[in-house]
Amino acid sequence: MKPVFAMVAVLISLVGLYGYGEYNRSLPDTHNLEPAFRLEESTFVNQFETDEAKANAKYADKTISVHGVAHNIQITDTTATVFLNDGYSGTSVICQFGRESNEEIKDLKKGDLVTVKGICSGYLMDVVMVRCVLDHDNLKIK
Amino acid sequence: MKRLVFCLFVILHCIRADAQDRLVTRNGSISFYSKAPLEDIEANTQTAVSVLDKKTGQIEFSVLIKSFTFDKALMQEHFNEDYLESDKFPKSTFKGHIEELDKVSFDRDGKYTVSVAGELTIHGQGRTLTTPVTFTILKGVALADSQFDIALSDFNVAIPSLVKDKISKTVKIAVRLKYEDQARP
Repeated sequence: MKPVFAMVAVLISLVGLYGYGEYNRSLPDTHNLEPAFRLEESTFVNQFETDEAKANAKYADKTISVHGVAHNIQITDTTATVFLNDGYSGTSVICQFGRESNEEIKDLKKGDLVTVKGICSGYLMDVVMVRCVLDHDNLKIK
Repeated sequence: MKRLVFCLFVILHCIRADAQDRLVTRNGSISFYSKAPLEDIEANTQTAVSVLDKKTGQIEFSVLIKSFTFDKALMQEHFNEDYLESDKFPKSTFKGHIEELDKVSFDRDGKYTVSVAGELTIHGQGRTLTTPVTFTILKGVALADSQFDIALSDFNVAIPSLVKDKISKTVKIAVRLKYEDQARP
């Protein structure tokens, strides 16, 4: 009987460990995520302006790499927001960077061409991306 | 011809005046917090959109549920899939107005606390909300701060019976909106 008890104890421990690990699982670092789509800012915005429901179904919750002009940059103590906009449209791609990413965009200037990787949340007045990082691997979108 | 030019001038002037009355934010901060024996729940977003009409006191904001970020992945998944059902109800909105608008001077630096009343919609359910909001005006920028509690049951947010007694039934919401002139990029 002893081996059976031992096996059950091991199983319970494994399940417990898995549960504990799963409960405490952090959100993945966006740096390590492979983009599902690589797009120009204007193409990305146009698709939401044309058909929001269709664009949402395609892009929401997905990791997207977007290339465009940093039209505006707003940095606070806790977060940074980069507005990608070609200057011709009233609609931007809003990229919310976390506190941990503030350092990597501190040298970014208005007008710089940049590629941002983040998770698409959907569309309000602009297309919204959260948990953003600079995408050094995809500086140019083809 | 002169009459046509005059009409166009009047129309453009009206549009411009209308735009000047509006203050806008596209990266407003909304966070929520609830403390309970099983787990504290905390999340925030800095992507809320809001428009405030200085002349009429009308105020609206909208936020994407999927834009709320949690520390724990599992909590964020449950929030979107089980509690707020963000695929079905992707946005939360507020539409209301400043009561006693004459107590706020958007053109003069200062701090003004007034009551804002309107309808808050979460999870597809609209509920009347009246809450104090503090406007801090500094050099043409208006910072609006407000905190209020909501009951999850008011918005048909179901808590699984297994954890019913271990999760708080109310949530504290903090809103911080930094408005700027609509004309600014």
